[in-house]
Amino acid sequence: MGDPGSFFGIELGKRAIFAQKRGLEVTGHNVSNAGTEGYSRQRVELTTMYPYTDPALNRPATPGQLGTGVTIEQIARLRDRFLDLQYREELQTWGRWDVRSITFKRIEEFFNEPSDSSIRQAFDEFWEALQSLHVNPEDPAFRESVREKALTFTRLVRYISNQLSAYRADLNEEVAMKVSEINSYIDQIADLNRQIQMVKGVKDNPNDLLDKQDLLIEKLSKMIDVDVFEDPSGGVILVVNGVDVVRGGIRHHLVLIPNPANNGMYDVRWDFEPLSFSSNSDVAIGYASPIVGNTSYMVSVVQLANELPHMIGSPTASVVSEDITFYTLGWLDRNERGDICIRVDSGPAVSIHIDGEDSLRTIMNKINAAFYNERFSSYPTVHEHWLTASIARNDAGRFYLVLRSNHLGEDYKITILGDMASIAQRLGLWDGSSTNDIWAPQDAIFSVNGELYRSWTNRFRDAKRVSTGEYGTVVDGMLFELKGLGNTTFRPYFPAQNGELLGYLEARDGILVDYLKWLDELSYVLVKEFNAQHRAGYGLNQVKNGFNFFDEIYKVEGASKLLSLSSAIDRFPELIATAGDIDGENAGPGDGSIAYKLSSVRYRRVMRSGTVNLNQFLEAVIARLGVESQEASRMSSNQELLVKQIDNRRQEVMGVSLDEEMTELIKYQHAFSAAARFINAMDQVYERIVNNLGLVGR
Amino acid sequence: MRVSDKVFTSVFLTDLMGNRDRLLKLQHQASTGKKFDLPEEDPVGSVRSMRLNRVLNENGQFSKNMDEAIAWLSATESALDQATSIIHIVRERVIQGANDTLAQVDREAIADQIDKLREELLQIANTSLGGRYIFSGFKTQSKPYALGQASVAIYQGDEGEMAWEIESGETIVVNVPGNQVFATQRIEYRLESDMHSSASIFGPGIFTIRVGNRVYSVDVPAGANVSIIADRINLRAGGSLRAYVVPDGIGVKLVIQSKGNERLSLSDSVGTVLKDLGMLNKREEMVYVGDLDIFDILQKISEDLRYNRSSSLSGERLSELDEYLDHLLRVRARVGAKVNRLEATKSRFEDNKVQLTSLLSKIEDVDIAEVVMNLSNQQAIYQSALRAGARIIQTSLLDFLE
Repeated sequence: MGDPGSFFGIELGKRAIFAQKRGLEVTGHNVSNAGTEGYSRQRVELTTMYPYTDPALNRPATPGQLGTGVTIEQIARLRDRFLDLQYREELQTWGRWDVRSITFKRIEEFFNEPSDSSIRQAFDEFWEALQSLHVNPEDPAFRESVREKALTFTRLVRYISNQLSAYRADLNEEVAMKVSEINSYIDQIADLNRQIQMVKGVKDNPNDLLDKQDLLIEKLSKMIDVDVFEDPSGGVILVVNGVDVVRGGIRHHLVLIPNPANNGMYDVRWDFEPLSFSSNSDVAIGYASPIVGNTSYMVSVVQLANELPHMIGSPTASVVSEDITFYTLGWLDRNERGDICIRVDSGPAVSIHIDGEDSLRTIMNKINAAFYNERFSSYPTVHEHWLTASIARNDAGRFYLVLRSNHLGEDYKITILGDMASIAQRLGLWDGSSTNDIWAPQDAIFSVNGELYRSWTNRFRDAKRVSTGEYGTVVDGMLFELKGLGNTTFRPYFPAQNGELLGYLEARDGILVDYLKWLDELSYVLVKEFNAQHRAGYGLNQVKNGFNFFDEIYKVEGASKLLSLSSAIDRFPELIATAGDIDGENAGPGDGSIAYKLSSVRYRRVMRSGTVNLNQFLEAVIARLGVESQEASRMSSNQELLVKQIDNRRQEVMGVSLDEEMTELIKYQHAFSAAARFINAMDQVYERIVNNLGLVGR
Repeated sequence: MRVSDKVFTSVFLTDLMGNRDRLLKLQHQASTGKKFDLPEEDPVGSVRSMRLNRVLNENGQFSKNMDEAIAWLSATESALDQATSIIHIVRERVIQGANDTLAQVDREAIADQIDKLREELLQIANTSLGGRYIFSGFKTQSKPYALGQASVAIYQGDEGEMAWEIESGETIVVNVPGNQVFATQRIEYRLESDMHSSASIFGPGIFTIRVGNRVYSVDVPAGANVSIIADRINLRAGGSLRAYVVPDGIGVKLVIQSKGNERLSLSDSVGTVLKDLGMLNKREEMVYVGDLDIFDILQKISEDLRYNRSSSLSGERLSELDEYLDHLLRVRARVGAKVNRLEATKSRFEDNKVQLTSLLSKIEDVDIAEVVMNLSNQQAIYQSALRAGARIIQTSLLDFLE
């Protein structure tokens, strides 16, 4: 009868002891790490050792097979990979909405609604002060009030605009930090890959290493939408939107590329393709929010804009004078009179009646006073359809009339339609067939993917499509800045489609840009329409009209940072226009009709292509803020809840239960004691064999 | 389901945080009395609250404007009141002075009084309110009336109408320029007949003429021509109008003209005289007859007294005074009507304000009783969550093993 060996028993016992001891140790490991983040519980998987004997020709003739004890097959890690996948996906969405929600809350803080110190309140108080003024145009106290309210309101707008821009810069720093964190995680994960591969190479389970790696991948998932695949040779393959970020030995990092069109704020790209936004920055530069996607645009610049409004007049006109209050038309007969008919763009044709007695100043007053003036049979109602008349001085010290369009660009040119008695010619505005241009406006002409556009500034989001004549956004979410003639390709690229990084880029270049844009639009239209109306009126006992209330602004972008009370009005509130015009003269100190018209500017439908007024626009912006913020807040808290729920489900599988571990502990303890007892028994057997066997009769 | 320790603590913490979040919100509501802080908490409510606030602010402003307008119009009314009293006194004096039996020296005395009253009237015309002259049109910083050569009163103001906004898009003119108060244009109304031959015969018949609110009945005998009809009209209604005949081409026309700003209306009662004349369904013409300036009138009265022109006093001057009084009455009535309208609007605004404020409160404010109730409810929930959690978290198998 065969015997697997004399010390087979001890060997059996020894294996048992080791196995149970290992079981205890693994249980101890679990208990120690019950609170460790990302820890998945481990289990010793015991299996019987290879039995004795093998079915072979030279097998011992002993009944078999004989069990040879216990061995540890592996130390298994209990984890549900499917739940892990779900967990990571929801983390990405949570990351993005969390950032959005925080952004909106900050914007809400800036706008500070509902409260008594909000922008809307300051806005209302300004209009009310004007209302009071129209009833008391002679009283300096009411003028002071208007001035104060205007200062408060404009200061608040500039403040909020600067806060929003400063927040953009903060978000830029966040982007840089996130990119650095992402790169660091990528490195750590790739390093762990190597170690894991080595461990797997020798057929061991790199349990704790895998836990560490999974934790890093989860942290990464909140930041960027990474897909995780198992590498057959051990470790993981990370793919972000089709880009292999970690595979085998290669790893890629994100790089930050400062974008000159975006104040040097960073575009984010992969290190193997660190392209700038524009292929030829001498032709054009730009930036875009992630909404644009990863498509290229062919941009071709044919002409740059000179960003000037149309301005006409002639320093050498035949009707200049040393004194603007002197009648200047050189009539032979003081009783002569005539009309000049002026029009801007497609606005109404306005007839200005000029008498032989009129001085240059009276003529200037009459022209300015035509804006929104029901006394005229045909009068302009929006600032784009009118101009500013002023008086300039030539080198010889004599005065001449200058007309300047209120709006930049070739569309808003001044035309002289009718010139009775050649008045416009004598004033130097007209040479008989065309206007005498001091400035001739020139639009930018460019094409995007073959579609031709015109723009009156070189830096813009909106332009006029030449084929349809419609004015609108060129590419949704993209800003263009033309630099020179030629061709370039715009190649927007966004590595992330989800996660915090996307959230920050969306917030910086999308959300905040939108609110800044609306604030800019509000400021721009307010200044243009208000000034046009203000120029039509006279201050207290003033002989000239044509003063601006706010500092003039010509471009929409950045208007909210330039919104300010003109320094002349600030120092001399008596210049605030209240009285209307009668035949080129101030109607009188008791006339508050222009102040009334100014306070009604808030009701004129001048926003959104003439559909809403200033008040409604502001309310709509704040309403939208409320809705968007609520959505982001809800999505963020829903996602947080979802993530927690999935985590709880994961914990069902991978979480350590102390009660369970205690039971395991007892189990292994008993098994250990039993094994020890067994060894004792075998020990006695061997002692018997060694000491007492073969000593018959001794 | 296998519940690990982590799950216990995680779920417990999540629920606890949720509780605390709700508690915080309720506490905040109780402290501020407001339902929401940020637009995101109630976007629709935010917008409505903004709109209501704006409307309340605007209405407050309009109320202020109305107060100012009422003040201005009241000052105007009281000035007109005083002017009316003065004119009444003048009228009495004129009647007195027209008496032939008065001695010249007495007449001189009355003339002096008239001059004094004229000065008073001038001062009234130059009334100012808060440093602004109310009868100057737009030239509110300069006196409307000044004395020129030979004591003639010259109007220095303009025709400006100060239109103040008292409701959204609605303005009211609060002033009356001096030259429309202390002077007026005299207009008479006239009706013309068709052309007829001077020999044409009309009648018999009776027709009525209505002038203002006075009605006259004119009877026309048979065989009357245009001149006879004119005489008949003058006989019956001569006090209020005059009828005369004018040549017109190859024939003549009958003209009836009212004295003073009163409209005419004619109708046949018996017969068809008016119809035959062609005077029915005709539109009256307004004829400008001259200016009536009270300062001028008063000066003329004074002169008439000094030069003892009693017929002029009791005739023209008196009728001019009466005409002017009518005019003043009309101006006063218009001003008074405006004041009434403003006060009605103002009281409507007050009501509106109450309603809007209450609506705003419904949107913005919390019901304190409800909040306090919810708060104590939530506190109870919080405490029971803590108690339950504390019990379960602490127990484990270890407590029971030896």
